[in-house]
Amino acid sequence: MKNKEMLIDAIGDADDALIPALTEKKKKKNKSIAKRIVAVAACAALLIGGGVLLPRLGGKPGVTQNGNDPTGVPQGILPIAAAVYPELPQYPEERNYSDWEDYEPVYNKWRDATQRLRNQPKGYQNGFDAFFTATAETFLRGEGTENRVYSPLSLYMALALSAEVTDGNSRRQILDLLSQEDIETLRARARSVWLANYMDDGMAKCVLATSLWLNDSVGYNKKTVETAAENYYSSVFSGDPASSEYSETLRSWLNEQTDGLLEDYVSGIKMDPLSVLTLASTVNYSGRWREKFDQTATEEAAFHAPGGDVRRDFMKAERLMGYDWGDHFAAIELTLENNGRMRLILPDEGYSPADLLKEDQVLDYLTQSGSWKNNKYTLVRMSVPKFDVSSQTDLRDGLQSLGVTDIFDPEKSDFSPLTDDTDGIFLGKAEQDARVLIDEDGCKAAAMTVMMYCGAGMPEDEVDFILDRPFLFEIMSETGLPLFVGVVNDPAA
Amino acid sequence: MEDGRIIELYWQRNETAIEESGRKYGAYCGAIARNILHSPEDTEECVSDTWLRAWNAMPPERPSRLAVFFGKITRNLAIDRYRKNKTRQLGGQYPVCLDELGECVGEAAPIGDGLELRELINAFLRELPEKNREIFLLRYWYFLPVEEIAERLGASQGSVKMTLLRARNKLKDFLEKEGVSV
Repeated sequence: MKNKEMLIDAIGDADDALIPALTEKKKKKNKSIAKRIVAVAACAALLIGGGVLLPRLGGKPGVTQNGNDPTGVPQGILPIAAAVYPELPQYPEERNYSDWEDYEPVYNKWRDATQRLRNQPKGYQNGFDAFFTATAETFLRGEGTENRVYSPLSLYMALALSAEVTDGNSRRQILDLLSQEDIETLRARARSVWLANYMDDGMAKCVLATSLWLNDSVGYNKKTVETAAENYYSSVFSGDPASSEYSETLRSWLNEQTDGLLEDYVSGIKMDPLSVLTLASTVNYSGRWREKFDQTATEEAAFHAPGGDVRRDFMKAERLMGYDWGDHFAAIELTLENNGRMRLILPDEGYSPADLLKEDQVLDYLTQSGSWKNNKYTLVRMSVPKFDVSSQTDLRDGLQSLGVTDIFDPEKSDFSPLTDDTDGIFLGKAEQDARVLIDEDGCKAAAMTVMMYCGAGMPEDEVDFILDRPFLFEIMSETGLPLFVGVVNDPAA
Repeated sequence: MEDGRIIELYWQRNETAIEESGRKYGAYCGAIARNILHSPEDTEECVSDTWLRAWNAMPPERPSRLAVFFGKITRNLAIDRYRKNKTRQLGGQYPVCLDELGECVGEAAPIGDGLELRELINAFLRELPEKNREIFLLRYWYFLPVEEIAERLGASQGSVKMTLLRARNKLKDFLEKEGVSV
């Protein structure tokens, strides 16, 4: 039997519950499929991470001469390298095409370009799971009442860049945390991670950006800087960190990379006048729900926050979908159009997100991207709070507890690949700011389409999934990498 | 007559079951067979055979969705018949659908175990958004022509074709990812 015949037989053998009813022809107007497909909800998230390297003995601050020129462009700041991103065709929206023959070649061009980026050497994600498991609990734990958001991918990139500019034990400790054997392997994998997750096609966005901000009075090893720029798609700048213009340029870069979503945090960022190098890493992510929520179904209800009940908006839907569970949690996945998915993980009554993060089973769940062992396809009545959560995490203590200690110690640090000009360089600041928000994306008439095509054959069991108490979330990239994880203690805090 | 009552008749070995099945689901099964076989005589025989198969299957079977249960039998019977009579160039939607799905698997190497493939297809279908799944199955389970799917859903033919194209591409990627040689 031919493969295609086997395939057609296998489709014929699909679960009864999935087969749509074939009743009398429906007559509907103005509800084109193309319209529905684009009518999905919005999810936007982003993060920045920054590390500042400080020379212990003060470095060589240059003379400040940074007045603005007549055109308003700051002088004294030299863009050394600008990151050039891969070309990716814009996603062709079906609604813009009336003729399928016109659409198909454009769509195929988009698809082929996307696939080329995703098609990275086997094993390029090796080590990421171990890194994620080691760091997630460290940066999310705590019994506090604050929301917490952490982007493992952003920290991974920032650390990989840090490994490039260090040597000896300083580098070894970073490689160990990233579970990489040597710098060459890390470099190749980090590049693949970058490419495989890159997406900026007008509909979905996942852009990792890094930048290096050099001190123009310090001599740098050109080759190290070039290697970092080339392999990590970094932009490189040189200027006087004591000048307000240099800090302003950094803030503009951060706002640009994060579409202004982190403006509150960015406004507080100022370069240390003595810094030898500032390193910034951002992740800018946004996507649209593949199946949007009906805005008219959103209702205010109580969210049981640690500090007491608060009234918040809950998005509601009933869908036939996968429902996962573990010893002490239940979870669902919401898919984003061409851009991965968001997992919502609700601890069982009596357990907190912090309790869950101590369990190996939960960390396994957060790192696996395939089917979970406890999964049931069923009707889920979900109630998901709209949320806008952000947090600022000082990474220094956490990194040291994870074994990355030497780069914080001027007596032990080894930044020799970066510069011979000054010794006693150490990492003076390392923080990550992140924000994640979700909503229905304001599209109307969604409930109509959500349930209309459901057909008959609901499973016998139905479950309620009500996220009305502190929960965990994870945004996983299209390639199965955790981009963001977080704890929501209050959805609108 | 309600489905539960029809099933009871089969269990009681009451031949009225066949009459009632034909009355309620004859047109439904006929549409499936006709899409595949494109021949009134073959279609009629297929539908009659469907009740016979059902008679042999119930008991012990007690289908949760009787329509799909009958439809599945008709579909299998019609495909078998098509494969046996291939030389007669029957036409209809089946060969077109077969070619369309051929893009997803190729014929370079056998794709292996049918049982495993069935599970993969179920997993794939569950991942598809509801609407896309419906369109995919109206096409490849019921073998409906694109025009009819569009008409049923109030959509344009172009958007149905686009949805099918995207679903097939997704299926191809999915099978590749799951290690099925393509």
